[in-house]
Amino acid sequence: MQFAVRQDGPTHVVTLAGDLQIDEGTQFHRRLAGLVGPAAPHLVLDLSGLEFINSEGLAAIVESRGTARQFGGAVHLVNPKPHIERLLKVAHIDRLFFIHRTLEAALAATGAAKPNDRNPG
Amino acid sequence: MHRSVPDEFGVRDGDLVEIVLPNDLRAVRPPEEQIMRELLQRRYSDECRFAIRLALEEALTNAVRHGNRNDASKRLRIRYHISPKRVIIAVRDEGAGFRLDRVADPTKQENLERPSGRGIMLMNAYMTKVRYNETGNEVWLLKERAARAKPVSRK
Repeated sequence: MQFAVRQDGPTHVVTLAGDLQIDEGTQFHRRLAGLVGPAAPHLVLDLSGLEFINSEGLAAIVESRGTARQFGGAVHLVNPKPHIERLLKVAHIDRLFFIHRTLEAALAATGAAKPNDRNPG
Repeated sequence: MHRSVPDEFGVRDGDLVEIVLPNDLRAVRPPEEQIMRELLQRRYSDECRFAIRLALEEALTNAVRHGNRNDASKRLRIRYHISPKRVIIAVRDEGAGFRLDRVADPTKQENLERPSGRGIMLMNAYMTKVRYNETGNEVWLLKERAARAKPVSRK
């Protein structure tokens, strides 16, 4: 899976693309866990290029939400493909995240730091 | 509960391809890719292939991490059968097994924020049938090609 990070003020934007392979879950977890902190409590995950993820990958994202909340932040998901969005719903974790159609909307929401768009935090 | 292929799966032991692997998630990638290539060659839909890959990965991850407890001296056994109408995959570990009724429901509100514990639920959601042997150290997955995706349940 491709994993690219950039920082935009208090937010790390992570662009995921391709497939999270079965042996990449631990590394993915470590990389996400290292991003959220007091200086950058928000995480935006651009899922528009993500084709496959398993429960270990979902676990890493759920855990990052817990860390973000500890620092007063949140995790925002951007434009998952329909089969990935369905997976989030099947796992009942779509309700844990803000899901936005565009990166711009997600970044605007981290600035506002309040529930908006399609899901409550 | 059953000793080998569940009768309802409609194949015999002799119909299955068997692969034995070390207990390592890096080692399971080649057979997973082999199964996915065969599904593509048989023109299974994107939706079917996603479902089968997801369930297979959940079964393998559970076997490596929970069944064999990351013990590198243990092994995994994958058996599978792909026909034009259905896919059957079994994953067996060398662990002591588990009790399905003792697994917490990850979709309950109080469990939603727990990072782990979604593998069994996802297998059930994406497969046509999921069965376990008596010990609980082998899972059998069946995906009917013609089966429609199960609706998303909401509690």
